[in-house]
Amino acid sequence: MLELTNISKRFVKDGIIIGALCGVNISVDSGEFVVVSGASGSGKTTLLLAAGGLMKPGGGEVVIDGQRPYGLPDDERCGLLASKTGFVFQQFHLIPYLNVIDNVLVRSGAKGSRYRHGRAEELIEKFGLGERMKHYPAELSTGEKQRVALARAVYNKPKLILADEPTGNLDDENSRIVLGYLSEFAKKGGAVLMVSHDSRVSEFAGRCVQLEGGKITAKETV
Amino acid sequence: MNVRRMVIKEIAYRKVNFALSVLCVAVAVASVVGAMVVLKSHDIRTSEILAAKEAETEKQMGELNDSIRKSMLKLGFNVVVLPKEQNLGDWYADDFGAKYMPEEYVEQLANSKIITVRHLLPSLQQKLVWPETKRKIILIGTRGEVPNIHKSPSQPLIEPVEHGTIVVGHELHQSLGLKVGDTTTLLGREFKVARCHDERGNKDDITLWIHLGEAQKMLDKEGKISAILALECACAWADIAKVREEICGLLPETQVVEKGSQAIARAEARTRVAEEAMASLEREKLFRGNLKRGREDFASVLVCVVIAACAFIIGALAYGNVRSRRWEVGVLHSMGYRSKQILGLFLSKAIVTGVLGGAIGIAIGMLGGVAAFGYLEGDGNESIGASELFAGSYESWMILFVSIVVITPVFSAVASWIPSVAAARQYPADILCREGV
Repeated sequence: MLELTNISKRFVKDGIIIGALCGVNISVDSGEFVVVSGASGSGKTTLLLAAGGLMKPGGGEVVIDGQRPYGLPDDERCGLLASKTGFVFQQFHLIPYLNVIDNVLVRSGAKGSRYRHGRAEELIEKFGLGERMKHYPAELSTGEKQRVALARAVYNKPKLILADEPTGNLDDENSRIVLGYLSEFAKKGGAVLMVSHDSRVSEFAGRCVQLEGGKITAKETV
Repeated sequence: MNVRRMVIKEIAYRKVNFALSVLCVAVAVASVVGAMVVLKSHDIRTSEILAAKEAETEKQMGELNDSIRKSMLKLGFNVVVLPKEQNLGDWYADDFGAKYMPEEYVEQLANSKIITVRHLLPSLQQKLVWPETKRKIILIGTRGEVPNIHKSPSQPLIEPVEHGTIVVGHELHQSLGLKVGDTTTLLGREFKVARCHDERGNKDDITLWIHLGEAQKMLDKEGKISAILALECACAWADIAKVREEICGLLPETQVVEKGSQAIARAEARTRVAEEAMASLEREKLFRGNLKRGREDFASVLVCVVIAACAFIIGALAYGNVRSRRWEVGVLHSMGYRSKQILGLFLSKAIVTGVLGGAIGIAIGMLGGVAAFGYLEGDGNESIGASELFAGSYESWMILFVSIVVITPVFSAVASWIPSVAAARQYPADILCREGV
């Protein structure tokens, strides 16, 4: 589903070149839940954004479901992201002026498809937010926000979920709900690439990859 | 969830930002419409003032004309056309001419296109002894006013003396005991007294007036006249040189003398009054013109400053709005939103702002313009109503309003364009990294 081959990325800051990623190779197949862990500044987020088609790497190749997002015209790349991937962020990034159901339905706008209230309601119910459907993000707890973000990520039935520290701001109970859902998503044939330094994720992940200084230092199958 | 719905939701969420943007557009539009209303109202009020002043002047001049016409009747005519060979010394000494010219001269004069002469009275005058009464008299044969075919008909100044009738001067009818309706004999012919004049204190008191044709026959001067009394056109009363030039140009065998200095003086006074009235009208036009130029200059500066300030504020608000939504741009990109969709999200809001601000601005501009004009004029007159403003220029106003409704969204979009485009083009990863994914 996702293949990252020899990915490298460098940033230049104040005249200093920082190698964020150096020849990283990772593949995530359908049904796999892969966790990339590492310390802050190890290149985890850069890797995730590059994998999700949001940051073109300096070198290497990214393939999502057989398509190279960075080789596609802008419209087609956006279409690929809209239909094949779903992002979950540590900061949730719910749109503040939309209520819960609209925050989920906002995904339909990218493809220009008709929005399906039923699908959105079903997901919100599934994440235990049935009573919160008309509530705005400011009225939700952090755990609830992340569950809404997760519902939004899967609304379009993506094949790949890219999650950046999704449990970073959550308590144990909410972390387990989120990780449980991602695990379930993988078991049903989806692919999950998650970056995290949360030790709890290992019990849900199928494979863990250690990233240090932009390089993969260890691969471990759980 | 489409862009339109997101725009509406965002507007409802950030009411203050939206309200300020709408207010800025409304103020900019109101300044333009208000300035237009003030200037249009100025034109309307100027027309009203000038029309009223013209009507007043016309009325005053009409009254003055009537007054002068009446005065002229009493004063006599202001120019006399005499045969060229008439010795003016004799004429002034005797107060009548002893030389003659063809009667057809008066017809030529009447049928000419001389614009300065309006009323023509041919006469045949002779001093003689009234054989039947042994009294020295002046006999005047007159046929009354000859119609001038090139001018509009005007009220005759002197009623003609009908055939077989006679008009008697004061001294004669008093001393001879003649009354209106009496019959008297002159040179063997009987005449019925048609009118007896009051005392005038001049030669008229010893004058008899009969019809010109009868006088010509009685004096054996058929087809002859001794003078043509002419009253100039009112507009050129005082310009004797022009009258002389015109008449002598047409009738080279004549000469023209001025008569009745009081009439001339009054005519000159009347001309001066007319000139003063016209000058007053011109001064009013000049004043209103200067006032309008001043208002136009002020409005153009004010409108430019207001529009520039509003454009800056709208741009700043748009920039602030876009900046506070940077992460939203990144998230939308991550969901597969295209740059043009994101641009549409921001510009749609700008367009809604423009349309709403434009509509509100038109309303404020109309009301504010009317109020401002009333304040500026401060004349206590009724303010210019909508019907007056729209009268005759409905299409122009509609074009202005439609232009505003079209231009303001563009104006608003342009002000929001740079921050919106910058936001839409931002690399999503940059934003997400900066915002802390």
